[in-house]
Amino acid sequence: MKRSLVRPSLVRAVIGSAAVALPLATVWLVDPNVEGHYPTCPIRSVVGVDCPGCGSLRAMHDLAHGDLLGAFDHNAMLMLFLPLLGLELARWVARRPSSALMRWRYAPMTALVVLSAWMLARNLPMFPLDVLGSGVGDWA
Amino acid sequence: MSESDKPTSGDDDWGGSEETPWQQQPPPPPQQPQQPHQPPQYGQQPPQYGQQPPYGGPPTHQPGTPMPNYLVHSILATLLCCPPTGIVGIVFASQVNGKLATGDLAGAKKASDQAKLWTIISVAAGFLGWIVYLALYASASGV
Repeated sequence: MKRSLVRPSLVRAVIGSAAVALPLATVWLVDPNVEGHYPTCPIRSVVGVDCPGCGSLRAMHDLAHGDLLGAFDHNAMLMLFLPLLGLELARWVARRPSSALMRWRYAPMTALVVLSAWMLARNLPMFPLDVLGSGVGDWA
Repeated sequence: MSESDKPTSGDDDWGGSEETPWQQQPPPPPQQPQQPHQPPQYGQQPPQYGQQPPYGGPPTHQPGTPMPNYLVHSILATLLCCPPTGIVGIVFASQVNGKLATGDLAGAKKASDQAKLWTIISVAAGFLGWIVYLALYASASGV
């Protein structure tokens, strides 16, 4: 295999950087707030509720423009998970094993509960929870 | 994206102890046959022979059996692409951990393969969504 002639970590660094930079550059340039720029989430357009990931494109767009509050407004859960996922990517590039938190036995179960509760909560029409929806201007 | 790197990444995706992952090997000449699971790390650290990594650290895994649960991939799929398939992946990730904890290696392997399959399905669904969208967009705008 040609693989042995290449520095694996360098390859990973390139892949990792591209995995962060390309999507950020895309949403920075192409505004997801404009109708028709990106496909709408099928769940949202068919069922009419916010899925756990709804608003993540707009959140990444906010993030790319340095608007942290707007990013949280569009998808707070993604913002909470991003540091964790970024850390995992960094560890993958550095050929280190997953963080202790991700290797925790009940990590998948916790993620399942958190993400399900997140989807339920952001669709409830009561005041403290409805700000969690992906809609614009719920917060700021 | 780690799919493309499976042969070399298999053994650092699951829990080893913190100080193990640096696989130390001297830079060999290109013709020298390589062990596929030990990629060389050029010019990073001096070779240290006879130092077996103290595997089998924190959780409950058997040493030497890579058992990725693809949790990161499934969470990414849930939050960025396809919650239905991503959630299925998280469920299988949970099964991997549960079966490893009870020592059911065969069951854990099955769940791991399923989690991997659903990661691939998520990626495929994402691409398919884009293809359908672009096709509809193209036909609507008469390109």
